[in-house]
Amino acid sequence: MLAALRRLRRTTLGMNRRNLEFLVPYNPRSLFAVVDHKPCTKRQLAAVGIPVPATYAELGRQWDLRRLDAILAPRSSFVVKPARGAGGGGVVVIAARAGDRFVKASGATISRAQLAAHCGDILGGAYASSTYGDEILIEQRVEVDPVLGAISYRGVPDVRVLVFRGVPVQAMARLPTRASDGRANLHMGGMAVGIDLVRGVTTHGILRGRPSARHPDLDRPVAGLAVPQWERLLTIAAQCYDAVPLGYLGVDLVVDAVRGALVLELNARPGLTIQLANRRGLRTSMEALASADLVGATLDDRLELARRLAAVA
Amino acid sequence: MARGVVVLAAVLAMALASAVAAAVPEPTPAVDGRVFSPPDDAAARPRKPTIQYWTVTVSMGIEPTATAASVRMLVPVSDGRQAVLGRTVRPSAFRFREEAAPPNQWVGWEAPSVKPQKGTIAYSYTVRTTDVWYEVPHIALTENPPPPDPVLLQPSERIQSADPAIARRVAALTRDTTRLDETTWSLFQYAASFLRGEGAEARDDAVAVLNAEQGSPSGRARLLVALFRAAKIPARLVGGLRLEDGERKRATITWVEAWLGGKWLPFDPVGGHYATLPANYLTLYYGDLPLIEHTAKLGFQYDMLIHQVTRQALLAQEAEPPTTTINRIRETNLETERVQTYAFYAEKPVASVVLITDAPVAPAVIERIAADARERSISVVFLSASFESRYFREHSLQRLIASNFAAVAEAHLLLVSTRDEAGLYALLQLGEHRVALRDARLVVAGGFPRSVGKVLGAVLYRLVGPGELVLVNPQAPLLSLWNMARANLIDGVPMVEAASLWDLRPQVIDADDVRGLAGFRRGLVRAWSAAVLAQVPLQAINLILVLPVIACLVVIFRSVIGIETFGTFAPVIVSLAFLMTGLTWGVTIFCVIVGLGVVLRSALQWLRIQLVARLAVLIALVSVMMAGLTVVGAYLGVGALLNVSIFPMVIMSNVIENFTTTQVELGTREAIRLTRNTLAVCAACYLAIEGGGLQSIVLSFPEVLILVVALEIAIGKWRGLRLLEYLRFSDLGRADRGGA
Repeated sequence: MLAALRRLRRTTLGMNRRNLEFLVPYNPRSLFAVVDHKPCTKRQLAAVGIPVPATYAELGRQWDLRRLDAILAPRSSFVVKPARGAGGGGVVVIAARAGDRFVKASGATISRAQLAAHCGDILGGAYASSTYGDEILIEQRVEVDPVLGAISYRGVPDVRVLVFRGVPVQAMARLPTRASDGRANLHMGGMAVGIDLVRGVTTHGILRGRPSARHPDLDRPVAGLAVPQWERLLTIAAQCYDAVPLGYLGVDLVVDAVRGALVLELNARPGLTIQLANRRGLRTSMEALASADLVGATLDDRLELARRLAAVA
Repeated sequence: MARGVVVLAAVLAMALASAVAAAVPEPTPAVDGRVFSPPDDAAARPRKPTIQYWTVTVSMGIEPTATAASVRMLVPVSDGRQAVLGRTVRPSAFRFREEAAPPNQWVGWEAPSVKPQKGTIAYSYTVRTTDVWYEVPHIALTENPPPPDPVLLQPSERIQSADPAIARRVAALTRDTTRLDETTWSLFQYAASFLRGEGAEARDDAVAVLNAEQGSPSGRARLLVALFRAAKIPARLVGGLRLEDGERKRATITWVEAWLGGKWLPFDPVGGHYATLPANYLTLYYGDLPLIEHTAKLGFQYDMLIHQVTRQALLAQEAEPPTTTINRIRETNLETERVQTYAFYAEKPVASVVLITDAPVAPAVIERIAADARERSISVVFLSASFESRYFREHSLQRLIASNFAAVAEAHLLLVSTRDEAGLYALLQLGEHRVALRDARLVVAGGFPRSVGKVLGAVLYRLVGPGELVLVNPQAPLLSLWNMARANLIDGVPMVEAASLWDLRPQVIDADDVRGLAGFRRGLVRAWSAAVLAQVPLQAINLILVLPVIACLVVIFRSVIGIETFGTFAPVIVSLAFLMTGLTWGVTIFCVIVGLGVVLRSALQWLRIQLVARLAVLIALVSVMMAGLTVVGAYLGVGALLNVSIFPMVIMSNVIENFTTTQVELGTREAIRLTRNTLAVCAACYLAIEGGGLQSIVLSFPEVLILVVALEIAIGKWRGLRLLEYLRFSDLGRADRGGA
């Protein structure tokens, strides 16, 4: 019992240490503005050639909503997001059109006027946690890859890679469940599944902080699946550090059935549940990385280092 | 109707015989046929009579009964020697009446039935008494004027003046006497020489005493009456009290009056007073009567408490406007929690005591203390206010003190007993009003650290300047406090001794203690005193100073324990509000406001407005809710709701907004979890501050704040796992060991 506690203390990264040793020294506040604003993030990532979902439009003022019809006319599927939203709030995914109405991913339909009203809400800051109002991002709808899609309930599963100083440290898949309402949001009941960094195979499931081997709604085992395009996902995640130099960075990726790996968003304060999903504490490898000499290390060097660290059990 | 009268003769007859020795004439054993001249004690008389003032309080207790109960008692009347200055009947459940039966006066109480707790009767009178000396006229026996009533020469059941044995004894004793004074002396000397009879064997009728040559005190008095009557001198029995200060008595004494030369002259064969009476003899009645009569089979007990008072005390009282209500009992029923005032005003108080407490006082305790006070002629005022929240307790105690200012300011003794140091703060109110208590004694009991007591006590002492400030710690039951104070103040038992008897640990604060404080502390005491004098209540300073402590607690909850809450400092402000409303109402109000707010906030979503405007609308909604709660409080009589405006509206609006955003971003479950955490942290802060008495600790030792800051810095640098993280990641410790 005591030995377990001691081991826990030695290997696990807690909030206090995360904040003091990693967040504060490695994440300059000036870069928070970049990751908290999705269109801005996308521009920065696209600048270094990192694939992101195609942006259809950015609307910043109520006035811009006039153009909504014109923007949406050529599209049958798209996603409307608040630029400063968090946790998937305010996101509307349109999968198809049915006459004059839009069909949402859930199957429900929504009229054009309702969609416009929703856009008005977003602009009004209904989903923003800041007081500055918000903007609308209309972008490409991700076509879910069948491998992770098979263990997701109505929604887009994503892959979170924790990148420290440009070196991927741990990864997990986040699967939507009925409780999370199609969002890959762990607080709402989404499922976290650890991914073996070297092999790209899913390992352990975590549901609401407790181990769980099967998806709660689909009743399928979540472990042992090979994540498609794993090498590419890992490379892109590591590359994000070059675009947005946040030392302690959470990269959220999706695998699009057509375009392959895409970066959805970046997180400057990634949480610690990833340790549970991987059944492995972050502290040892993070501290090893903190003291590693990475000056002049290339992307390949960093990926190599990531594999080496992950292999040390 | 068989209404028997029980005669309390046995009880009443238990007079004192111990004082026989130092009598005026040395009673010598009577020898048949010898005549002794009465002493000429005129020369030995003091030039001025002694005048004394006394208060006698008779307390009776009647046990509950379903049948009619009546009690009557003989009370003194004024005559040349004694004057009755005042009589006081305390209101009771009984019908009171007075019956004159010259030369005696009865007072009686009647009730068709007696309920529990309602069987107490109290009657008191104040008298002025003097001592008297008479000379028995040197006239012939036959020249003695006839009695006012021929009955006074007749024999009765226990005064068998016609009995041959008595006649023979009188004949023998008066064989050689011719003058009235000689006869009187001879008879008195004979009766006075008898021994005191013991126990159940004591004879108490004239013949029996004569035959046994010993008898009970009243028996010997009866023998003397019988002897007088047999000698054709009219005589009667007198019942009275021997007054002794501070004594509690149940027995009367009996002496004799003989009609000599047209006047009633006193003779006390037991006390040895020949034609004289000392000032402490109080005449209650004439005749062979019991002091008290009551219905048969009535559970009854009584006693009489005697106090000597000074003329000044009486005059001071007379100067006051006469109050018809001797006893005022006022009970205000404010809200569900109670604010009570009980007052017992003694007619001629020797002291006045104000008891202040923050818990409802049990009627039995009030009864006990009031009865005790009544017997000792102490006016007692009870002030009690019971609220959960310390803020309300302090406030209502202050209000009580303010509305009973006269009583408090004039009290000889202020007894304050509160759960914590609320009593000390309430008393500081006196300082705010610049009331100096000068020679009053303050006893403050409560659960506060002694060191805190020393500082706050010093502030109080500086401001109010009582004769003595005694802190008792921890809080003691009101009754033990009362007993201690009474023993100390009234009976003069040293404080430490009186306290140890009641298992209390008093801490006396006087001028030396205030002067003896260390430099910094002395400055602090001066500063706080100045604040109070400037009408800044210390509670306000308290709340300001305790804020950093709460903030530190919140930091501990977040960084050491790992409880997430809405916003960092919402719990600080909300727990401050809890300090004022109390926990129960605080949590209730919080839940009501947040619950209603969240519902209304989701309605606002429909309006589609920006965050700032939305927050402003929320503030309006919260204000309306608070006003509503206040009105509901007024309707239902809930005190805590009346002060709901203490709740920080802006903070509450923020909590509501946080709830809704969290609900959107992280789900309802998460929002409820965070609300629950916030509430739990607030409650925990509240309990830590209240339970630990932190407010007063910070007030007394502001340097604690340096420690608080140091602790915050240390926590801010601490990198260890939070306690709840051990729980959250507990699987990691196990999995690693398993080598997974």
